[in-house]
Amino acid sequence: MVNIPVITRRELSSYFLSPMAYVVLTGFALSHGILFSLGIGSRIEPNMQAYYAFYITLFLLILAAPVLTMRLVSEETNQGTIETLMTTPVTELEVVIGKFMGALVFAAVMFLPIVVQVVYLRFLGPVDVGPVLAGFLGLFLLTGQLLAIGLLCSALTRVQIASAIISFAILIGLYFMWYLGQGSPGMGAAVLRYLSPPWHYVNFAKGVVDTRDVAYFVITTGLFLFLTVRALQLRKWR
Amino acid sequence: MLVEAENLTRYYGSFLAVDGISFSIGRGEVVGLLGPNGAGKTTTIRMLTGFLPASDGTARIAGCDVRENAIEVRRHIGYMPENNPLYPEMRTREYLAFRANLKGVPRRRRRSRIEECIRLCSIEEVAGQIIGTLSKGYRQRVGLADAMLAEPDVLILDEPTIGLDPNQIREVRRLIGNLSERHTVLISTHILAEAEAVCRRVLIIDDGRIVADDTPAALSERLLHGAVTVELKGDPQQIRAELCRLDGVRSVHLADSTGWHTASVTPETGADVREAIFRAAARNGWRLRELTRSRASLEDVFHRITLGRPEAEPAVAAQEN
Repeated sequence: MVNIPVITRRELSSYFLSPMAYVVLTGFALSHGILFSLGIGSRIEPNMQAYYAFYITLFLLILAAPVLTMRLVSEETNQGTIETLMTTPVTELEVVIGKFMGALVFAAVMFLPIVVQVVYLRFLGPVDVGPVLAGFLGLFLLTGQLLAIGLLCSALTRVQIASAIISFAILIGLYFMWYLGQGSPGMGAAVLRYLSPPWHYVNFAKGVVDTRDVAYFVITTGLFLFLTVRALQLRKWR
Repeated sequence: MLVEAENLTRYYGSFLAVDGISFSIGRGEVVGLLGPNGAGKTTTIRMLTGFLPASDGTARIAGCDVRENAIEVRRHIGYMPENNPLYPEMRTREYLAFRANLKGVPRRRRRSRIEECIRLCSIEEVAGQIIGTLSKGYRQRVGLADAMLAEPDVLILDEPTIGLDPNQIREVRRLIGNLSERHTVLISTHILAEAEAVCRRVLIIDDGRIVADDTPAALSERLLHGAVTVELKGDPQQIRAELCRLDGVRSVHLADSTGWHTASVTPETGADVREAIFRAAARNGWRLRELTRSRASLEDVFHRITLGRPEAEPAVAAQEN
């Protein structure tokens, strides 16, 4: 596991050397900022506005996560650097975790505008710290899960744009399950709701930390990372 | 033995790319893996590095099984793949530092080792440059510097001079020549001059099988059976008759050119008939102006072996006295 920080550092430096990263950072900051300021007029109560800040991030991540992860493995496969990487004394697990951590740290930088917004809200009135921390925990868990899905898609194809489209389609599907599951009675709808990330994330945004929601994110993220490791291992047999 | 391959086999679907090849390479050897494009060189190398698993057979590097002990095997090899993939957005020194980290070069030695490799590969002037802006020759040298960073026992270089101009090729070959002082080197190439220039032993691979394994000189010898070319002035009938009578001579082909006659003498296997020809010339009073033992270039050997042409056909591409 000693190689994980080495790979994470390289991924981070690679992010900050690519113009796409700045497009994503700027795009996220602008769109989040615009949506946030539109909400301020209708939600005077700062705690509601903080909830809103986390809520809109849910939807922006559908676009941001596939773009952030699309190059992680597919670029290595396409450029052939996967061969130089996988013939050094590193394991597939180290590569996957290292890349995942790199994307997660970059996403944390992307979320800095939310911190600024929360600080700004404190000037408008009292903001409960607990729900805000819960929101950030949820954001961290949700982002991890969506990045893990994107990473898996990136390991399945050597074409970056294909990776982004596949992971975008999966995320749309997962979000759509939330929409379908809402308001419908019955077991099927409950299963759909339970499997969709937004349903769990919204609880965090509201300030509710439920271990079932934490477990959901941890298990699904672990599952997608495991599948990515397997995809990298099986690549040899293609 | 540092590198051992036993019955290595690899299928891609139903296509047999490497067909049960076996060979071994001892410490300090510089071995060329030759073959036409698509012969199975890269697949063989990828199986040796553990990048591709073998469908059957085993490979060991420094006694470690490639499949069962992949991480340990990777500590013993420095590998430069075909086309030398690098991260174009990184700077040369930053890239080498990343690779040294991954390869587990001890922290206290890392900096000095990176600088040593930069110096050995003569890339000092581009050490701070972005890799994507480097010429192909420099990039190739960055790849070589990377391969030797962790001072591996075995260097495996897949087509190390492909796409380079003649000056760059000469430079990279010189570098490989220097590397052989410290490492066991396996070079895959389809450029025969390269193998002839730097390798002391060549494995010729064709259709996934090893079809020859010897030194370039021995392969050449095997091909031409030590044929001798002699240029004489005298009576052609007598020359032919006398040469045919010599011990160890299998056949004589005589060609006339402006009074001087060029005889191609094919001896029996293993015989060296040069001295006997000289004595015959002296005895008969022929004027002699050339007596050389023909040596096939590796190109001839390769061509005949991989295209299945008969070995006995004399051809003179390079000559040795």
